[in-house]
Amino acid sequence: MTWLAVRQHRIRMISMALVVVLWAGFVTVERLYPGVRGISASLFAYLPLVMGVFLGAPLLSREYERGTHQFAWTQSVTRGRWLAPQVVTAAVLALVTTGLVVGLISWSLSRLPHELSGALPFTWALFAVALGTFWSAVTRRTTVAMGSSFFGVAACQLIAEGLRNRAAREFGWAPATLGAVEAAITAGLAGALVAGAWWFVTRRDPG
Amino acid sequence: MNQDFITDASELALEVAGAGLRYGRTWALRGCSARVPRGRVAALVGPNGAGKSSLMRLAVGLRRPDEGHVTVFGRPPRGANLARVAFVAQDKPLYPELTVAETVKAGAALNPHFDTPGARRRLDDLGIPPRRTVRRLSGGQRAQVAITLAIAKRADLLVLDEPLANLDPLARHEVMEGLMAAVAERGLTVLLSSHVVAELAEVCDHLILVSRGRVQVAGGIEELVSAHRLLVGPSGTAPAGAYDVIGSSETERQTTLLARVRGPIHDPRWTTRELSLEDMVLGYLRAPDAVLAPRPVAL
Amino acid sequence: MIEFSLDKRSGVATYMQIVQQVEQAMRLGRLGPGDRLPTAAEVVGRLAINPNTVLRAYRELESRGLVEPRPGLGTFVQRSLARPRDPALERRLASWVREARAAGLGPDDIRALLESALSGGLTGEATA
Repeated sequence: MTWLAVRQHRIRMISMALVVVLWAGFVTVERLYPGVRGISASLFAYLPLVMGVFLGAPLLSREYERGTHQFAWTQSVTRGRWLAPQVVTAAVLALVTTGLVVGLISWSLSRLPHELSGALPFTWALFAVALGTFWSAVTRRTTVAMGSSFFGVAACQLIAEGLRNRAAREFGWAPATLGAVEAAITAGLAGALVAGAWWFVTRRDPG
Repeated sequence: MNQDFITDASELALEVAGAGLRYGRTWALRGCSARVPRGRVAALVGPNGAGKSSLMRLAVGLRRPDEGHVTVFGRPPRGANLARVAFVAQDKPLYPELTVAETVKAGAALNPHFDTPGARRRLDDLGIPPRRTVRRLSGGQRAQVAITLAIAKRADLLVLDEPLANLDPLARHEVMEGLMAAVAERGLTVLLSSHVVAELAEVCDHLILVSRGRVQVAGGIEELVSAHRLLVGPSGTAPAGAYDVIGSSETERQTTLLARVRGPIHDPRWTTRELSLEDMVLGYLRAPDAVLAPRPVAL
Repeated sequence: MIEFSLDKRSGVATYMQIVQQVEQAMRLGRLGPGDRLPTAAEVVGRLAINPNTVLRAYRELESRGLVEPRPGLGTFVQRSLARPRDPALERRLASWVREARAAGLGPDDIRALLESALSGGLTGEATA
């Protein structure tokens, strides 16, 4: 089962490798021309969008659109057992990509900005993939799920920024505390969204 | 009719009892009952949109019935019982980006009892190149790969939705040959749907006729066909004897009745003729109110 | 080994066609005692028919005492229906067919004459 999930992610793995190469390019330019330093970090905000749209959104809708769920769900394993390696493969791919990109950026910048420090970039990646997976299970249409994921992740990023500023102003939280709280919230939401997607796949009947 | 149904549930490959299925507010199936004994090759026939695919979805556990119940070898098609049913949906869905060999590997990954050597041998016999991607297979080859996977699952009930649709005559013959050989070798029970009755007459020994979301006729084909007669006699009269009229047509001089006979017709003015499976099915489809199916069992 | 073929338009039930083909092969000596009939899987793998039809034909042949199933081995022909060949008789028939052809009779005419003779309709006496 894991083999099948990994094999089905081949194109997405190649896409993520290209994303890493893109950031490697940014960072190389920054090393050569220190004046543009910071571009790779400022573009990092787009990475969760890419993950929600390309790793999360197609996960289930591709099955529904091609009718292959009728193949996958009538083999000898339950839908839950089939879904787990799919979600885990997408999550691992998101985490590895994030790790490599953060590593590259830290090669260019000596001090990483808030959204790139600690567990935060990783929990955001998981949240984006989970949101994409959730919309994928609900809408069953790849394009609709991609659109919903894009705007969903973008909206959440804006809301998070607002809350972050407010918490710093009103409670006087230190950046480390802020980061920990934000990571906990995004990770929790990611778990809830995956649970929601799981509910839709296993409990709701396919059309 | 009831005596040819085996009542022991473990001898029934499929039992549908008063089952209904809803899409939103519309009922696709309502109060359906049918039984397929183990070892039979059952034809699920009916006009397009009658509910054949919906009935199959219930049988393979893709949907749960909204009323009544559906069991496969005595248990609902869920969890561990999924291993006993194999399904090939109408469009033969497979992952187009995988090669044939990878598709076999996927089957092995998803089924603990998968017969990988058997699947490879069958595809090799059919001359399907293992390295070709599913996307580049012909319709017939794709159908053969899908059916090979279903057979290699080593399930006891094989459910095939329109397996012959969109295939050329040679491919149809090859698909059926392979399928019947598997039935002979493994003692499989098969449920296959079609809207063309003629192509099933040689293959099937059991019939489930679905129309307008209900099971209209269900039973062994030989018993069904031998119980029906075409009665031709003078217009304005009815023959003496025990029979139920399914349909009738009248001209100025003669009346033609399609009837289920329960005893001999002793009427010198009437002639009786035997019917083909196709004629019988057509007769029932023209008379949607005539129903000949097992009643739901009270549970 | 015998290979079956089906005539779907003949109106003869499929299992009966198999029975008749086995009997004919036995009469012509193409199947003799000890010969194995093809398994149901072998037959349906060629004809695309329900295996139960083949099994039914074999049961019918068994009830006629012509074949015998041996569990795990297959179904075997039990006796011979072939008559010892009579070269003189065959020679006379062949020469008669030649004469009939020479007289302008086609295959159907010859068959009709033969049928008629078999049913006792030909006495050899000219009717006025």
